[in-house]
Amino acid sequence: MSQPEILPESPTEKASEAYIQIRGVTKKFDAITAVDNVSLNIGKGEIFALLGASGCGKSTLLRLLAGFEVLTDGQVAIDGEDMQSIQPYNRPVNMMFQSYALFPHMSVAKNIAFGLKQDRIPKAKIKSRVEELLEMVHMENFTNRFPHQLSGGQAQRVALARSLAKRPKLLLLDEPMAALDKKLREQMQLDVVNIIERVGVTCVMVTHDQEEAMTMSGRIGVMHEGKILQTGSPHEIYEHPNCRRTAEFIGTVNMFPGTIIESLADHVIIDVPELDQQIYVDHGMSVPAGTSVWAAVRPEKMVISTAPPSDNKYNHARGKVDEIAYVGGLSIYHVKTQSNKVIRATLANVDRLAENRITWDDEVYLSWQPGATEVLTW
Amino acid sequence: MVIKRFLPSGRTTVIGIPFLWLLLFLVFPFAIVFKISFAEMAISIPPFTDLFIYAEEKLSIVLNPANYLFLIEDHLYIAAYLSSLKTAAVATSLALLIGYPIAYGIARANPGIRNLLLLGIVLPSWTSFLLRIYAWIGILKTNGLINNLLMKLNLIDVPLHLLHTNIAVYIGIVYAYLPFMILPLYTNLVKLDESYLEAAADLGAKPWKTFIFVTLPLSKGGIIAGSMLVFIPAVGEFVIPSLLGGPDTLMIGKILWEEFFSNRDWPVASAVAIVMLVLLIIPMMWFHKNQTQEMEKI
Repeated sequence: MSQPEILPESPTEKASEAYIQIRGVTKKFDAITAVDNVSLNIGKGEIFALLGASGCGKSTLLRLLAGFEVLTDGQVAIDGEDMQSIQPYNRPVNMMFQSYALFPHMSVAKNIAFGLKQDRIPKAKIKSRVEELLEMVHMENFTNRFPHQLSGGQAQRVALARSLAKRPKLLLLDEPMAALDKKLREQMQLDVVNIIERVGVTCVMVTHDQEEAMTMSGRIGVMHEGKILQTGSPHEIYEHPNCRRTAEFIGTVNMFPGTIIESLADHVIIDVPELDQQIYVDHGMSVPAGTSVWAAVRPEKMVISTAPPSDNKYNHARGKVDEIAYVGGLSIYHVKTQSNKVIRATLANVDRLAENRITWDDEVYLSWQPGATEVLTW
Repeated sequence: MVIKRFLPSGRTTVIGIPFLWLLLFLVFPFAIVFKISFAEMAISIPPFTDLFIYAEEKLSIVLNPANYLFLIEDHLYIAAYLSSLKTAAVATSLALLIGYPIAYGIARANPGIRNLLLLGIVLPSWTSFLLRIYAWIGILKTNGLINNLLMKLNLIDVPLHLLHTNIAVYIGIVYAYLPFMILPLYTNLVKLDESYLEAAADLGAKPWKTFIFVTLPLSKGGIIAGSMLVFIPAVGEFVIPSLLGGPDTLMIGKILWEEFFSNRDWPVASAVAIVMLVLLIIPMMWFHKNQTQEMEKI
């Protein structure tokens, strides 16, 4: 448990203002509960990402919003309208499928026009709307191509245009970047967000890629075993995870199990058996002394040095460099303490020609600021 | 070791066997039939004249196109061809109408019972074809199963005349060839990505519109394959029209049989067969072209 009380509550959390209301939604497949009593409020124009490992129920939740699955329990309302008895083909919701699901027997233009045709919109209007959408996704020159003639990125643009054609109240993106290679992915993430923001459509996306969720969305819901563990902005989720699972799922983290031995209004001290020193946290917590907790410190918050830190009472560890992973911009050090605990620390490679670099088997000290530790109770 | 050089390689053998098979059982018989179609009927064994005569140091080849001209002159043959094509076309359409929902149903069924359902489609074929057609005589005849049932239920007073009609022929062909319609349709429909159907629904298409604008066009390959597999054998079908059909059932298979066995006019019978083959090659070529185009798309 971090200190959610000091974080500003985002205005969209208020149910009365929520554009998309998900209340106590549960979906069971026979004995398996895929989505377990999930409640969420999503504001108008917000890009919300459901993040979780495969099988966590995020896709099922998305399919419940689209209407492809029927709720076992709970309620979904969009713009104040209950979706309970509304068939997928009547919902003001459009989805961009993971496989894009572009109709292979229709040209790009026909694919985009498909939804508009269902609404019996006059031909001339459909034509101008299709042109407008093609321009928006920069695919004007591909009007008469067929899906099998498009590259992955192009197919994605068409799929996005098709799902925006009917001006849905809610846009769903199912693993939007899964079919693209890494380089293209980064570009498309920003392109897609720009288009969505320009249109102003409310968007719920599903992804297992934390970077994608953090880049694209304004708010993230971390899902695990059908439940939402935490919702918050990418920054909140990363810097103030509310539980071990969130902390471990988002980025990497050094986790130290320990016990609170002093809990005062302005600080907390944790005894960690795996470390020689105790951990000092520079703010109070509503957890009494004696409670078992996990102290989480992100690798980039660790300062690695060969000299012992000046303040040697709290918040540091001593060990031997066990592994170094050089990834270009930074190096990841695996430091093994005397108790065989491996602590990860990252070091930005600022200097290209650093002579006395820390290398394998060096005796090093790892230290961190009192504010760097996140104390988790579950 | 020298011998090895003259033996065909494994690769040649693998490819060679089917070619040899085709040569022996397709090309040779076809060449013989083609040859006979240009001969003249003769009272001899075999009952036709030789095309190649070598006498007085001269080789003369006598080609007799009269058989083909005869087919054009005699309205019976043209009528029989047209009637066969019509019967096959109607039967194919009926098989498609019946087979499509069945194939769709199996393809959308629980994967666990799909094979069981498919077995149900194929199982009747394990019984002799002839036996199954005879069984239909028992069902359709004047005091057969259908008439007895309808009479018992007091729905009719006089037995319906079902056997030895064109309707019976249609029933027979549709019944016999339905699996050949269902299996390719099933293979196609089972591969149909459900996300296309969901995408159509998502974009506002009601189920029937999704079917017409998405499912049906995407199963075109299966429809064509199934239709060809029913149409082609149905055109030349002999057993079903001769057992279930009436005196007015005119089908080219029956004519062919009569020419060969009743009239013993092998040359005309051969010409009938050659023309039928040409008529069937046209839809097959079209089918093949279509298949190639489909393959290119993927």
